[in-house]
Amino acid sequence: MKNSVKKIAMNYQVLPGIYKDLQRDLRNEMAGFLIGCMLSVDRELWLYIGDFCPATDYTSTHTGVRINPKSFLDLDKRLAHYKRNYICVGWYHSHPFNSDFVQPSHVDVQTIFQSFSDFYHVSLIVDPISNNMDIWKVRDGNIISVKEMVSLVALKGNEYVKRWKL
Amino acid sequence: MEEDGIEWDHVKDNLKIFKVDEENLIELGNPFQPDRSYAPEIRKVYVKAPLPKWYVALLIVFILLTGIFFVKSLTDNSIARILEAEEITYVLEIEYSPEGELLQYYLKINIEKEYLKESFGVPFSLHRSRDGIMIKNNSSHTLRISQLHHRGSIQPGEDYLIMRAPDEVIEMEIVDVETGITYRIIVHRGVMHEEFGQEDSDELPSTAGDI
Repeated sequence: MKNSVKKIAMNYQVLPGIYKDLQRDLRNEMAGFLIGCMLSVDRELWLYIGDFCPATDYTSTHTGVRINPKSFLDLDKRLAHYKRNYICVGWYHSHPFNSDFVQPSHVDVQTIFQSFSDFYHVSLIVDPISNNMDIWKVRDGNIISVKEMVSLVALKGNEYVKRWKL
Repeated sequence: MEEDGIEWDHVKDNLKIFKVDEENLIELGNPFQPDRSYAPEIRKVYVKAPLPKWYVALLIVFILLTGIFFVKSLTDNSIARILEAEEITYVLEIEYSPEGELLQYYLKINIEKEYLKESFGVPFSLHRSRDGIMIKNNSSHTLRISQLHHRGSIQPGEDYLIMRAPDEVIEMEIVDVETGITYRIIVHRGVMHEEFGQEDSDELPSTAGDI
């Protein structure tokens, strides 16, 4: 199995939660972490985003956000509570510009290459005003959009699956 | 959490890999697709963008204005119909018993009675007669009479006799030539012995044969 992610499976509860979190401040950018694990599905490597964790300490303006070290320490504490050895699989942040396009700014590019450049890391950018979003990752030294790879998923036994009789 | 189908598998390059069967992983669609054709419960999260207050206010004003114009247009139509006097028909129905006793008489106005109440005024009066029904023109207009066997007109102040057998039902129309208003009169049965439309009817001639 090569180290290349074939698909990004995102728990269906993650995006609504992130949207709700980012609605708290529509003037400045906000950020947080994506939490999940690597899945082997039919001998393919999938990235599973199972949860999210808002950053507890960050510096932001209307056009940029930097996550401070204390947030990473708090993230470690949070990860310790998961039974399934979840890891940080990326980060998310908002672009409250009410725009049709959401793409990394030069500040974001710096953050991505410094902290989220592993093969499984993804960067989710959401415009909480226009509801547009995109998801990016580093591949071959470039940052590319991988939104085609994303699929919302529900796991068997989940309340959602029971409720909608899937 | 253990019952969701994800199981520990192996470690590769210091990365823990879990295993899940495809049948335990239910895909709900790609949220990045333009149509966002995924499950309804998730979709509603994205359309929850807050509506600006001015938009809601504008919507309420629009609904109110639409309602007002709708009601106004209905009212205008009603008034327009009233003004078209030619279309207004009064129906006078008089009913007597075979013994000649007055059972009832009443005036039916086909449309918008409320508007016509105050201006209601019949330009003629009906009187009993030995041979039939006497119509007296009390107005300053010419009246045109149309009945099965009688057609004619009554000038202001003149009378007109409709011949009638005691039990004959008579239907006729009296048209005010000037206003165009049509009065349709039905005398059901019996002998007419009451006057209609004039207070001092006792002083009027009771027979038409003299005219």
